[in-house]
Amino acid sequence: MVMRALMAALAGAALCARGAQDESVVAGENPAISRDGRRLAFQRIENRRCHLGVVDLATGRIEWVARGDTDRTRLENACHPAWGPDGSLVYSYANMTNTAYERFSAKGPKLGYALRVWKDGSSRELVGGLTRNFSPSFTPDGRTIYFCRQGGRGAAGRHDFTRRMGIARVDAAAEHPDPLPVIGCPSRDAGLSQPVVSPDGRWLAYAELSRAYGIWGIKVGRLENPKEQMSVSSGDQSAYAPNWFPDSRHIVYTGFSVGDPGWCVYVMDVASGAMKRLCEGEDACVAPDGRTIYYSLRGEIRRRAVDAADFPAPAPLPPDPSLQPEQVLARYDTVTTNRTNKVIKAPHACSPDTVHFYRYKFFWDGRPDAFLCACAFGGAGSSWSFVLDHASTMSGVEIGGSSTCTAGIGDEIGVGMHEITSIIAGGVVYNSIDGCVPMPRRGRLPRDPCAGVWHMNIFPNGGRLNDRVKDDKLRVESVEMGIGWPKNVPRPLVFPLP
Amino acid sequence: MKAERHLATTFALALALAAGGAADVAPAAPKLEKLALMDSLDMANWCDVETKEGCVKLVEDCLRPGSTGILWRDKGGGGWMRYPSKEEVAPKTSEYVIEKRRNLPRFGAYWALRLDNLDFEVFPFVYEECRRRNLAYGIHQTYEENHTSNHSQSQWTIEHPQFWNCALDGIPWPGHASLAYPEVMAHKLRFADEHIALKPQKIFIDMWRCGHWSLRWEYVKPNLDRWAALYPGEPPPKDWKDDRWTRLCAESTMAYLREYGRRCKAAGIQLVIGLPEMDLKDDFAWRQYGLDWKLLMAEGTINGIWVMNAKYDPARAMESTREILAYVKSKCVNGGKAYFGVNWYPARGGGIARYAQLSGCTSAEATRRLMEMLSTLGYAGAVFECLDCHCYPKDVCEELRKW
Repeated sequence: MVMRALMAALAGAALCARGAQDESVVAGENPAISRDGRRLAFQRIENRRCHLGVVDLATGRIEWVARGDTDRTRLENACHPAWGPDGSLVYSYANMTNTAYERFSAKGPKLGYALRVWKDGSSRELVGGLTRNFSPSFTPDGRTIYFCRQGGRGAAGRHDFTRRMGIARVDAAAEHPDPLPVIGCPSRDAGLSQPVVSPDGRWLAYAELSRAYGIWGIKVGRLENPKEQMSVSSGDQSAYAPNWFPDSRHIVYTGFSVGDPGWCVYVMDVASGAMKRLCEGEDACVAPDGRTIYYSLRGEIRRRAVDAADFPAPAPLPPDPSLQPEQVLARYDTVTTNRTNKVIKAPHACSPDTVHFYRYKFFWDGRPDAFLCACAFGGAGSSWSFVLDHASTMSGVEIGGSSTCTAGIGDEIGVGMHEITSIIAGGVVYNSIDGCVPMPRRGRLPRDPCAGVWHMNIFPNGGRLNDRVKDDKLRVESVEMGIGWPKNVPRPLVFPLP
Repeated sequence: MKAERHLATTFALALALAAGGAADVAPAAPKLEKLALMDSLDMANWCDVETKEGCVKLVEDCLRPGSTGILWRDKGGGGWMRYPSKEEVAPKTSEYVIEKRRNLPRFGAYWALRLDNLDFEVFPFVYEECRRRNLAYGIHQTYEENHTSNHSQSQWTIEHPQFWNCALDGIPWPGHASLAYPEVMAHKLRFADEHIALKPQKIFIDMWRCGHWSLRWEYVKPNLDRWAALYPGEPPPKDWKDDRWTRLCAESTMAYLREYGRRCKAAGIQLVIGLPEMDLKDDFAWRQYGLDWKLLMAEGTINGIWVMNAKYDPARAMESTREILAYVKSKCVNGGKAYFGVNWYPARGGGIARYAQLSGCTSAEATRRLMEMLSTLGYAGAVFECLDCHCYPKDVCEELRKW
């Protein structure tokens, strides 16, 4: 025990000693190192404005990309720099020359946070309008910019996923390109941000706030199909601001686990989820050679050498719950008629290492051709996936939440056949029928033209099925509950990365 | 002569009576205080609250229900600061994009406000407007208002995760920083000093707007260490409503309020605590927050209790409300005042419209009954939650102006 304590003390002392050797570069935060490693972009808050600068690492000379006016009638802010391979710098910029009232009423220009690209001393606007566009990054080839977007409406005034914080992309070279949605926001209390593409161009890492009073977590998905994604940070750590190492296998990010002194810089082996804390600090980025990181700590950007000792040893991969075949443990027939509330007790308590599912078979308007399935994946803070096996009548899903946790996918994202869509444990699933989004209010039937809604609350020890359907259109034929991976449900993204 | 004097006296008396009778119906007891809660947020869709002209409009709108004073909302931490705070520093408090760890709110004008970054300071200006109109003025301080999607989380809390609340399972809960940490206590008291420096006449602390915080989230190291010292070998209770756990956590809640009260007293500011869900058991605040209002009043820490809503019996809404309010008043000692929320705000089941519905009367009549209750029970006054978007209808305002 004495030896263990001594070693822990030595390790702590080693971290402190390493930290003391980190070199201060410039006053500021949110550093971004250029692809040639010669310049560092950063933001600095002064006089309640956020300014954006670029420092030449050899000479220390600063060139200001956007330095807000100190005139208090204008609110100019620039933040979140990210470099492209040709020396372009994309960032988020706002210049609020009017009040909130003017901006949202008929008067005055519609001002939000625009994406701008700076190169050779001048900037051009890429994406603007009364939307908030921020946290951008270039793909390795510099052709596309991924970013976080919030605001705007979709066609016919319907909800557009961009009203919530979701991830979008644009063509970096185009003049005023239209942003294209990439990943919609899970629910009204959630948000996605800080997308970064791996150097090999295959993976998209980003941060997600998944639920009410939740903590941030990091997800990684396939760039070509970001819906294939999974959480890589552990459920008991708040983690955000990922940035890739050149090997496309490790990320540096900002995290906090209970017991940390504050926000800390971590390195993670994405495949296994093994992580290692480097030092106190935030918003780290990685130099092109992978041997240096830059991060901010208490208003100062620091530089730190990294070596093999700073990388976590890959941990054994967690057991893959999707390999276990399905086993139905309980079945309820003719569960519900219209407007009833049926409590369903699961024959088992949910555990994080086992897949649990509910399979509903129901008739809609006399047609016995629709059923769905929800599966729980393993890991802390189990998540459910919601899959339609037959999507003939259900074309959209809105998943809301209880006051304790929320879940879901955007209502404007149709759930396709055999397509996994992640939701979070304990969610309430509202199914829209005939493509209309239900808006249930306190037990009353949803407004027209939606024909009905039925929903299930999922708890660790069971669920509750309820429906509010007009004209008795819906009849649930059966509910099956079991463990193991249900048939006909595609498996999620599985690591190690092939 | 005697008869003429008698006639003159009678005539004078008749005149006086006529004058009194022509006035609006009012109770014989002293007039009630009527304090409007004004937050400027929903109103931001109605007028430009980031200008002096807009602020004047807010003041004048509070006169509709006959307010005798206005309590201007300021958050106990995070976002929408209404003055340039040193604890919650702009621009990240309102420029949500800059702060990476914030989710963005989604609604209209009031989520784009920068009340702490204007070319004039709001509090001194609106206080002067109140003084000119002979209105009382103060601060409606939310204990720590966080909305579920984190956008209004305190900036200081975001930056100091080492002080976050924690559930029993060890997963951090970022909604709040725990007062059990001395650093958090110091931060909150610096905040208190900022509020006091604004020189309000009154500060009403709103415990309902606490972002769903409760002692459930207080499994933090200082509390766990204290538990271990008090009950060696015994793990902390799974039931966060355990009496011993409540008493332990109450140490920091009460310490904070006591120190806040001491500083208000030194500055000549009235401090009132607002508590939701009041019933005859009167244990909600103790269980949820570790807050014993009766003890605080007896000590002289607080000058009053604001019953934000009564947890009435719907079958006898008015009668049970009266019983609860009478109970509260009976516990007011040491000169402590009692206030009640005569709310249009429908949350917590206590809005005027709900009372009217349950009592089978109009909203104006329900208002009259509630105000009469306050008057006859000796309450200091009513609090109007909240004066935004003209939510108090005309007939209710007319009734309120009579009191």
